[in-house]
Amino acid sequence: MTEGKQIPLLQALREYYNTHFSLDQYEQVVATQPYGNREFGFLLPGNVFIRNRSFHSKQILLEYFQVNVPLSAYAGAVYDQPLSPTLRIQNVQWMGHELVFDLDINEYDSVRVCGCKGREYCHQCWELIQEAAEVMDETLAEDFGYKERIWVFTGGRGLHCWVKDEKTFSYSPRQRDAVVSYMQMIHDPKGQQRVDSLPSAPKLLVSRIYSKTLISFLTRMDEKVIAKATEMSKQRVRRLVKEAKEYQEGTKLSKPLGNWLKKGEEERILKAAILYRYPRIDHKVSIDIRRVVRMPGTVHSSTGLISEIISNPTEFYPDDAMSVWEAIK
Amino acid sequence: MRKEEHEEAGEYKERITRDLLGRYFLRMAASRDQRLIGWLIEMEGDEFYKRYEVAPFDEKISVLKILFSEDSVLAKEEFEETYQISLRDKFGLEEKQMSVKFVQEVRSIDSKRRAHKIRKETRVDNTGMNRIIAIQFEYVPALVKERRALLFKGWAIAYLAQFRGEVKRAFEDRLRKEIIRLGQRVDQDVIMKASVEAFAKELQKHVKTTSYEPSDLGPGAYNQLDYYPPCAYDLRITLSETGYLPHMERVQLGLILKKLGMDVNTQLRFWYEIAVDNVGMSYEQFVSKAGYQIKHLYGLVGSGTDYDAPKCDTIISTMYCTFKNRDLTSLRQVILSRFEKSISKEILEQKIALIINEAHAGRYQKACAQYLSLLTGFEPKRPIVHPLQFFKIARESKRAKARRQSGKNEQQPDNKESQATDSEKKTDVERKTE
Repeated sequence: MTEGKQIPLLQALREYYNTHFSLDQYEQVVATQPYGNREFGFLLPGNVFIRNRSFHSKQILLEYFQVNVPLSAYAGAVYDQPLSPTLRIQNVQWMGHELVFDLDINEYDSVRVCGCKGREYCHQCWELIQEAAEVMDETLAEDFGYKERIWVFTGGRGLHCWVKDEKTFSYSPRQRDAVVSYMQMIHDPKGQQRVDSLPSAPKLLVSRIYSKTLISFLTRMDEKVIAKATEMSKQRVRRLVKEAKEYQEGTKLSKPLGNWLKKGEEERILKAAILYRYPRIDHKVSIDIRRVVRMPGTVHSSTGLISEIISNPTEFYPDDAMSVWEAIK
Repeated sequence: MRKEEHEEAGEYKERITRDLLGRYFLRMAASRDQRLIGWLIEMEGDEFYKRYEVAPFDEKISVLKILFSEDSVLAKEEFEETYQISLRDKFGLEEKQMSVKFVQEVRSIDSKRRAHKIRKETRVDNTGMNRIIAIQFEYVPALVKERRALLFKGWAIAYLAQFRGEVKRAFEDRLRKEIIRLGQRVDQDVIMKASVEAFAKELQKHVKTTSYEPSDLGPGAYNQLDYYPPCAYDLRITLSETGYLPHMERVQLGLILKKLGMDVNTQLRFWYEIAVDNVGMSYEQFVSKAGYQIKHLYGLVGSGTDYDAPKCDTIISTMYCTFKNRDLTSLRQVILSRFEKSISKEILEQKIALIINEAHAGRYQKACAQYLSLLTGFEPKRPIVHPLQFFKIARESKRAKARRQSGKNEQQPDNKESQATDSEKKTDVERKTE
């Protein structure tokens, strides 16, 4: 990770953006018009944040990186004309924005049992992000039929999923809201954490919650935590866990929960499973069509890690990411 | 618009032309004023949906293909053929048999045009509302958001009846665009503009915003939770318990509170204190951000439209209706929790069974009328059509009871009920057309 850093971050960034940086990863995630009328935003040294910038070509953008050495770099929506400090987004016509989902580990603070908080993470709690990515990726493919989904490590505390399917580019906020709300089972994740009841109509979603979220909850969580979360005795929890493992191994049972549960218990267990293991998506990132999103290939200045496209989010761990110091070696 | 049996082809054509021209001119006139646009869209939206609802299945599919797009709507058979799957085998989803028969009232007038003869007949529903169709999910976001459809490879699959809100909304969206487009054309033609504006002025005199002004209900009516219709009651309880409501439900509750006499400042304070989104935000920050939406309801910002409280039709199709949106188990629970202390168990159970029957059959407004009878103690006479109608009847009935108990009122309960309902159950539309 950031071990062996020898030179200050700013110096490392200057070298990185001048000799090692390319826009290839960024070009891979955007559906159309990577330059020209697209908005960019930057956090510059001195913590000055600017946005409403457009670049006519790849070369001009690369030069901007080399000269200004941004601490963070973001890409936003495409408009009907290039943006500039004098022509702001309020005065131009919005044309489109990729559909992006954001998963942050700090959204799980209230259910992380490892003790990590905020930006911290360990192998145990990062599993939550891996599982969330797995459930989301399958939902986006199977339920919504999206073909091009690219997962990106943000360099900070989570993952982004860029959906490149052409039709999503012009989605309205209402359509984006529908997609994210369909997947979002937990409301107010940092406060009251209201969990939706399991719906009956979207059968693929429901079956995924049983086969992935519930199984993960029962097989990966400590029995004490399960007992507390489900308000069940340890003995009954042990039976639940045993049956979940049998179901997982395919040795017994046609469904993960046995018929011996009392009335209302199944719903309580499912709600607890959702609370502890189900994806917690930052819905504002997906719905806000004017939001700028971190560009893959650029450096996250808080960690020094490079935001990068990852081929398999279910196996990725932030230790695998390259730091700016490693990149310039 | 269908050809009547007695109508000659020429007469039918003339009627169609007249209708189209009338609508065209009405739309041009409406384009002059935001309030007129809202009014016309609501009226035409209701009319469209009534016609759509009784159209045969094939016609419905054609309408959907026009509203959305040709290749974004599939009947069940087409879908199964395209994806080579059986919805029944894969998801246990099958079309309900058309066993549900309904009673149609045929009203005819005798030769003297005085007496009404009512004939009841039972026939099989051939409108296909129970048939399964698939629509590309982008066209029906509300259904997706509320998880009321099966989603498979980007298709929202559900019974035709479940798309009702989105169908109406799509029609209204198209109509709005059409009115705006016509408005731009009117602006370019000076002569036409003058005559259209004169007509619009005339029209404005007839288009009232609402017959339920806050003054009708007295100051502080919004505090009288006992008389709230179940939708608003649920929303207030949910909001106080969770601090969160989805957008359309916030709009619904906001408008009902407004029409129950809550002024804009009180409402701003109400949402600031109760909604969890505002944690850590000063009141001033809240007013400048989320406050915009609330001011919008009062017509103080944006288009300047002084919005009415939504009618039940609108609530059912696009907002939150207790009887439509709750599953039957939780419906039972909410009724129990509101009334178990005030009504005997036996009566309550009987009433709950009636309400659940109506809700299950999709007769939400009748279910609401049964629910109202839990508050009034009288058998319902008509379906509920407006949340404020519910409020008013509930309150009047309680007051009448109190008066009777204190000996100030000697009137018989039945008389009182009929007086209250006859005057209060009239809808905006009914009053406007009187």
